[in-house]
Order: sequence, then structure tokens, then C-alpha cells
Amino acid sequence: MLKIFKLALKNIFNKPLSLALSLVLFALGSGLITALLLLNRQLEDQFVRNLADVELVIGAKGSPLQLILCNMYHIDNPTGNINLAETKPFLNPKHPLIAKAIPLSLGDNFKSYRIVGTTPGFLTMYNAGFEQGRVWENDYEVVIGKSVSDQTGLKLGDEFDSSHGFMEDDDLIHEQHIKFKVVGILNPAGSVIDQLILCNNKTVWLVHEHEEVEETESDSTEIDNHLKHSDEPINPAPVIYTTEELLELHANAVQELVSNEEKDITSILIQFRGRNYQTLNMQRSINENTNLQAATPAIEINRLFVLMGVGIEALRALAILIMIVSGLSIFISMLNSLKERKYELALMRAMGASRWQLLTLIVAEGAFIAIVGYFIGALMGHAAVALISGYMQDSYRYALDGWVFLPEEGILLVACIVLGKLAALLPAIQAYRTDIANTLTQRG
Amino acid sequence: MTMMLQAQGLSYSYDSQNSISLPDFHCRKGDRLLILGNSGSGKTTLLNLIGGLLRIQNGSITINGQDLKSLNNNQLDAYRGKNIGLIFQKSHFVQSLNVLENLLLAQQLAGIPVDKSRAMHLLKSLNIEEKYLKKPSALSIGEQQRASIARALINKPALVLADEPTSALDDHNCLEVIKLLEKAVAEESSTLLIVTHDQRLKDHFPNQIAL
Repeated sequence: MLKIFKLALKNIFNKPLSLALSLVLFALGSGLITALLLLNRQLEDQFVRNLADVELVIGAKGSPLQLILCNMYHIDNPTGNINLAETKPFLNPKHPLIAKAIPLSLGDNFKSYRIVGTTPGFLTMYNAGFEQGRVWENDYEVVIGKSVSDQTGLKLGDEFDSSHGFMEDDDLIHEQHIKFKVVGILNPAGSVIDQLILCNNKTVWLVHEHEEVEETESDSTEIDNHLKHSDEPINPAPVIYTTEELLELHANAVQELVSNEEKDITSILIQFRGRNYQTLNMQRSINENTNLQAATPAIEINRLFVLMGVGIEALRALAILIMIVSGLSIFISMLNSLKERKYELALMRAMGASRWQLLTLIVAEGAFIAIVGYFIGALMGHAAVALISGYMQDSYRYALDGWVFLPEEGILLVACIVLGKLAALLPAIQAYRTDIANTLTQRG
Repeated sequence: MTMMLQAQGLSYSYDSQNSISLPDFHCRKGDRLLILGNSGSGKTTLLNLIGGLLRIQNGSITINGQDLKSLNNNQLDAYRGKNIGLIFQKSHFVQSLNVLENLLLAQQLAGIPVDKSRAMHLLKSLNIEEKYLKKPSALSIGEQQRASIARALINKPALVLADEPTSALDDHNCLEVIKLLEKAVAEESSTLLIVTHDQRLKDHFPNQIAL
């Protein structure tokens, strides 16, 4: 049997042009499907992981999807600001429906990693623990996610200036008299928190107020003096917080926050005590009766999946079509080559090969083309995702892994082999039926 | 001496109208027999029957005591691979393999251990040993025919059947190929049966049957 497979390999490489055509088509199809599988799976995983038990997001009116994308996935711009006076009731720890309400203040970035002003309660939402240092306690102190630390090289105790907005822009860097100071680094969580720089809400206000002040006053060092960092080194040993401790810090932070009624925040992430008709009513009444907007992450993300799904389905159909065409190309090129190869097949019979060996030979040729095509395609698919991942990381700070392998890829390989064998089956049956006497000798 | 090949009462019909009757004949081990006949005389049919490429309808063929009729299709394929060397008017090869590999494939398909030195020895005695790494399509017609003689002999067949081995060749090549064929067959002490209408071969083979 081995010699038959070896011969099958030699045969397919004997016709480099038609092999190349079949391979290119096969690789295109399987590569596209591989890439789609990877993208679909990883995007869904990322989105679902980042839901983080947030059941409602309250923010300014606008697109609900945008509200979710901005405040939970940190990829879109905010819909606007909301006034603390108006949102105060939701932050009240005694609210009958709300278990946890986390205020967010967005607006700055460092090297396009978003700076999120929030309370320590945010850490409990994402189950984040410390790898080094501690939670932010004073203004301008920040805790950074693992990816931020890895990608920007920020270390514990480092200080930096932020940049206004969400994209890195040298012209928009705040010339701060007080710099942000890293006081903690989080453990890798595999969710969006890895990509964030966290501080208290007040710091975000301060950065922007300074900007306004600086425009009018030439000398503002005085104001900053009382805010200067202490130069005490930060103990790198990670502080282990219990959820209760973080929630207590959270409660204090919220209390301080709501005393600034004139200030704005970007949104509130909400976890309910229990989901029932009252919570549903609450969402509807916010949307109908206030200037605020409330959106349910799970619903919006589902909507997004459905929208993406249409595109992905279309691409998948296209990929399957390409695969079928590639199967057809294998079929046609084999059928064509069989006309000239019928002598050598008859000859092999005359030399002692059985009909089954010829059938095996031709089917193996189809399968080998499929297997080689699949692996080229799979390599291209993974490389493409790795490439897209680089782009995504640059512009959205979301990381995809091009080199993870899914069980579905095994199924795809099997499907490819079946397709290759099917394409070769009819030519193989023809080979099986070769009339050796008539082919090799002219009757006389 | 016992008979190496014996054909008795053979007739064959491709369709219900035409039936070809073939003469009885026999030959001994090491014999060289020329079967001469014009188109339509049934000489290729005879060769196909002896080579096991066609199943016997009427009559019998016995090679070294083995009745071909008693073998089933797979046994016949295997028997042919081991015991009968075939040379055709046009030489056919597996195009993706070089000359040497084509010879080795003949050994493999017959289930005989691969013997590269034997293949090289044969190619040498047929004066084409320097072409062993070439693809068959890169050889001249005469060289191709010599390579197919080497392939026919590689498994030391008891019987070599040649179907018009020289009719595609010019006079010079014809003479050379037939000399080499005779020499090689003699070396292997195989029995040679040539089916042809090529009158040039008449003088070489005293042992002849006319159809």
C-alpha cells in the first residue's frame, strides 16, 4: 500500500501547474473558513467574557450599542456625559433593586490605552486581583491592566502624562504638572480590564480642569502643590483585597463622588439584586422619562452578533463555494489527465496491480491535493488572523491569537479530505474499469 | 523436455458475430517463437489471451503447468506480474517516475523485493544505463523500447510477450532493439514470443507460426 501512496504523491507533483491551481483554490477556501472560525470564536469569546455580570449600563442618550461598546468594551466613543445630580439615585447603596453601581469617567488615554476613572468596585465586577502594588487611594494614582504594563513598559512607581481623547495624539498630550503614578498592576484576566488604566473619577475631572485653568492662568503651580505625589516608594508586594474590602472602599468613593453634584460622569455599570419585572420597568422608565439612556449589554451584544453573523455567514458561504469549485478543479484536472494516463494505468494493471490498487491510487491523489491544500490554507488563515490581530491591537487594544487551534479545524480537515476523495472518485472508477487489453494493444 | 507454453482449441469472440479461431501451438523453455499475421488475423488477441489481459472463452492455455483459466482476476493480475514480461508496440511508462523507478515499480507491483542492482544491470546490458534518472518521455523511441524490454525482464519472467516491438522503429533501431532483446532474453533464459507483422524480423527467428 505504501508504494501506492508514494506513487500518488509523485503523480500529483508531476503536474505542477494543475496542482498549483487546485492547491490555490483549496487553500483559499480552507484558509477563509479557518480565519472565519478563529475570528468568530475569539470575538464571541471576548465579548461574552467582557459581559462581566453587568446587567445594565446607564449613560447619555444615543445609540444603545455605542453606549455598551464604549463603556463595557472600550472601543467606541462615549454617547456624552451625564450629570451626577441626575444619576445620584442609582449610586445610592440603599437602592432596592441595584446591588452594585459602578460610575465610570472616560476621556483620556495613555498611548491609546484608555484611562477609566472609577471606584474600586470596578475590580469586583471583573474579578481582578493584584500582581503588584495596591488599589488607587489618592488622586492621580493609577492601577494598570497586565497588557498595558506589557505593551507600554509601565512599571510600578512610573509616572506619565495622559493624552486627551481615545487615540494617541502628540498634540493632545496634557502638559500635566502632576503626572499619573502607577501604584498597582493587575493580574492578567483575559478580559478588557487587561487593557485599561484605572484611577478615581476625580482624577479624570482634575486633568481636564487643569487644562481649562492653564489656558487662563500662566502660573498654576500653586494649585498643584498640595497634590504633589509623595516620593515614597510603593511596596511591590501585591495587596490581597477581599471583595468586602473593595466594596467598602467603593462605598466610600461613591459617597465622596455624589457630593460633587455639579460634576459629570460618563456612565454607570449596574448589577441588580435580582432580575424581575421591576428591573425591566426601571430600564424602560429611564429611557422614557429621563435624559438618560439605559441599555442591557447582553441584548446589545446579541444584536451585534446578529449583525456580524450576516457578514460572517455570507463569507462562509463564499468560502464553501470556493471549496466546491476547488473540488471541481481537482475533478476536472484528474479527468483530463486520466485520458493521457490511461496507458500507464493499464500498464500498471499489466504489471500486476489490481483494480483496487488503481482505485486507491487515484483517490489518494485527490486526498493528497486536499490535504496539502488544507494545510496551506490553514497556515494562511492563522497568519491572516495574526495579522488582523496586530491591527486590532493597534487600533482597539483588543488582542486576538492567530495561533490557537480549534477542534472545528480538525473537522474542516476531515471535510477537505472527503471532498478531495469525492472529487477523485469518478476518475478513480474510470481507472478501476480500465480495459487493459484494448488500451495496451491494438487489436489485429 | 516439458512444454513451457501450450495453447489448445482457442477461439475468441468480441461480439456475437465475429469469432476468431486460433491455432494450437506449444513451445519449450528458452524457445523463441515468432507469430506472424496481418491485421485482423487475431495475433493480438492471442497475445492478450496468453498474457492474461483477456479472459479465455474457449480452449485452454497452460504456462509451466499452470492453467490460466483456473485463476480468478486478482490471481491472474498477480500471476502476470510475476511470470510474464510484456513489451508493447508503443512503450508506455508511469510518467511521473524516472526510468529506474519504473523498473522498480514493476518489481513492487509483482510483490518482488526491490533489487536496484538488478535493474541497473539490465539497463546496462541494454546500453541505456546512463539514462536511468531520466523521465521516460525524455528518451528517444528506440531508448524507450529498450527501457521497456528491461522492465519486461526485471522480474525474471518465464515468458516474455512482445506485441509489435519493432514496428515503430526505423531499420537501424529495429535491428539493434531485436538483438538486445534476444541477448537479454537469452541471459535470463526466458521464453520469447513475438507477435508481429514486421517482415524484417522473419530472418531472425526460424521458429514461426503464421496466422
